[in-house]
Amino acid sequence: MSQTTPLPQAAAEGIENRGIRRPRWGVAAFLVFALVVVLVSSMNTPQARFFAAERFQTFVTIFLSLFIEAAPFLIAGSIVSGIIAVYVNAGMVERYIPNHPLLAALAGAGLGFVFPVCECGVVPVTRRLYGKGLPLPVGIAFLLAAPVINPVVIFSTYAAFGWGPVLWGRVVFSILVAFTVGLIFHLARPREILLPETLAGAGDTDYLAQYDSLDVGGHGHVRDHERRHEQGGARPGIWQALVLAGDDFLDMGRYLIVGAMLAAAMQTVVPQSTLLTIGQGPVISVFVMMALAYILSVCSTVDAFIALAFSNAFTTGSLFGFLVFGPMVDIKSSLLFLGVFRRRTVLYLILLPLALVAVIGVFWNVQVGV
Amino acid sequence: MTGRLLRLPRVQAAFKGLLLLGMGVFLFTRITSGTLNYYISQRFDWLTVAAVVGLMVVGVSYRYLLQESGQESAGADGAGGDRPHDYNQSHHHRHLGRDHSHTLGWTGFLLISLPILLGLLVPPKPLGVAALQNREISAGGLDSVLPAAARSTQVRESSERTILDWVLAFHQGERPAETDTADVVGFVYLDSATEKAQFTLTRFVVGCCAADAMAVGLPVSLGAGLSSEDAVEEGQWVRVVGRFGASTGIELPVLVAEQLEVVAEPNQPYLYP
Repeated sequence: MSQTTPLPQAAAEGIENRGIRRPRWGVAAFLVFALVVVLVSSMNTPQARFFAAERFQTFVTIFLSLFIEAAPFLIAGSIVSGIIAVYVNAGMVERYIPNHPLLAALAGAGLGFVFPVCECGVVPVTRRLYGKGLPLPVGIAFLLAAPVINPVVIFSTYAAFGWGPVLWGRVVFSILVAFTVGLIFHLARPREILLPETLAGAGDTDYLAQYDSLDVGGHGHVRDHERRHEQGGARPGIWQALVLAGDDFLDMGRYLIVGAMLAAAMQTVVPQSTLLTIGQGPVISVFVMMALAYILSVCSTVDAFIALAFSNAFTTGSLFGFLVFGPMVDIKSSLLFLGVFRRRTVLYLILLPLALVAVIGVFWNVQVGV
Repeated sequence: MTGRLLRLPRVQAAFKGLLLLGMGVFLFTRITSGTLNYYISQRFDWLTVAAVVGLMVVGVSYRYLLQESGQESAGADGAGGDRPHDYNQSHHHRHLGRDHSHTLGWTGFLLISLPILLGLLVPPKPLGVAALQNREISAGGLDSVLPAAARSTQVRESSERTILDWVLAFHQGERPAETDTADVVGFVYLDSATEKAQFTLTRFVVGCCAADAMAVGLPVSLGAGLSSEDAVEEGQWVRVVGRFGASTGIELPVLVAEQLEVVAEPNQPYLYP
C-alpha cells in the first residue's frame, strides 16, 4: 500500500509519448513571447515609445487587477480541495445517490455542493467515484456541473457580476447542460465509455501514476495524501491539506496568470471598437468566447473575473459561452479526461456541451438580448 | 525545464513555501501602501486581506514538509536509505524517470512570480490616459451601472455629484438647471470629441476591478475668468468648479469652468457605481 506500483511498460511509454507537459509550457512561453513582441513592435517612434511605456503600465495594472481579484478565490478553492482530499471519503456521497436516471443525473449536477471543486479537482474525484461504482450519468453530470455548481464559484460569479442574468443563467444553464449530457450517457454502457482501469476500480496506484503523469492542473496525488493520512503520517491532516492546497494554488495559478495576461493584453492592445464589432455579433460572439474559454483554460473559481473584462464589449449570450462551456471543457480538462474516459468519449464530452451551450448562447442573444 | 537543484524535495518545498509567502507579502504591501484600489474596487478589500491570511498559512505549511524531509533524510542516512516509503515516493512521485507534475521547474516558478515581479518593477499606477488610447469614453456598459448609480444621483446635491453622477443624469434625459453648480475632480484628456470643449474631464468607473473599468467624462471649456495660460497638461488631475452650458440633442452639456485647480491624484482614483 505504501509503495507506488510502477506502470506497465506499454502504458508508461504511451504516457511518455504524449509529451503533454512540454508542449503546454511551450504554448505558455509562446503566448508570453507574442505579448512582448506585440508591445515592443509599437515602439518605433519616440511618441509611440512613450505610449508603449504607458501602455505597458496599463497592461500591468489590468493584469494585476485580475490577479489580485482572483487570488482570494483561487486560494479558497485550493484549501477546500485540499481538505476534501484529506478528509472526505467517496463512500459518504455514494450512499445518497438515487437510482432513477433522471434523479441521478440531477443529483450528479448538484453534487458540487458536497464536493466544491473546480474543473481540475473534479476529474480525480469523479474517477475515484467511478471506481466505487458510481452510475455513469451521475459521474458525467457531476464532472460537467461541479466546476460551476459549487459555493466558491457561485460566490465569485456574484462578486464579479452581482445578482443578475449572468449569475443565475450560469447556474441554470450549467445544470441544464450537465443534466442533458448525463442523461444521454445513461444510454451508453460503462464499458464503452470508461477506460478499463477506471472500471476496474482496482488500479489505484496505476491510476495515480497515470494521472500524475497527465496531471496539469492539479490534484494527482490526492489519493497518496489520503493514504499517508490513513497511515498516520508525520504531518497532521490539516497541514497535509494545506500543503496540497499550496500545490493546487501554484498549479492552477499558472493558468490564471497566463489567462489574465492574455485578457490584459487584449484590453491594452486591441481597440475596444474592434472587440465591440466581434463581440456584438449574436452568433460569432458566442463561438469566439467559447474558443477563448477553451484556450485560456482559466480555473472556474476565477474565470468570472476574466469574463468581466469582456463584459462591456461582448453579448450576454457569449458570456454564457465563456462561463458555462469553459468550466466544463477546456484544454487542461480535456487532457485530464483522457485519464478516465476512452478517446471517443472525450470527443463527445467536448462536442455535446459545445453544441448545447452554443444553442443556449445564440438563443439568448437573439431572443432575450439582455 | 526542471533543474537538478529544483528536483530536490527540500528545495522544491522551500521555494514553494517562500513563493506563497512572498505573494502574501506582496498583496499585503499593496494594502498598506494604499495602492490596492488602483486594481480592485474597495468593496473587495476584505477579500485581499483574506487572501493574504490564506497565502501565509498555506505558505507556512510547507515548513512541515521541510521538517519531515529533513527527518527522513536523517533517517535515511542512519538506516542506509533502506526505507519503505521515502519522501520522493510519498510526495513527489517519480514515475517513468520523470518528476511528479507538482514539481515546478524554473519556468513554472518564473510564471508564478510574474505578478510579484511586475508589481515590484513597474510602479503602481491607476488607469489613466494611456488606457484611453484604445477605448472610447462611455462607449458601452453605461446601462449596466445605471440602476445602482441613478439612485445615488437623485439624493445628491448638485455640488456633491461626481462625473459619473452627472453623466448618468444627462444620460437619463436630465438637463442642468441654471442654479446647478458642478464641483468635480478628474484627469484631463485632450480629445477632439467636442469643438466647444478644451478637454474632457475623465474618471474611470470600476465595478469589480480595473479590468472592467469604463471611462466617463464631461467636456470642459474655460470660462471668461480663466485664460488659456491656465491650460492643463494631459493626464493631470484637476478640480473644476463651474456651470453647464446649454446642450442640444443627445450631446452632453459642456461644463464651463469658473475655477480650475491642479490637485493631487485622489486616494480613490476610480468611481464606483
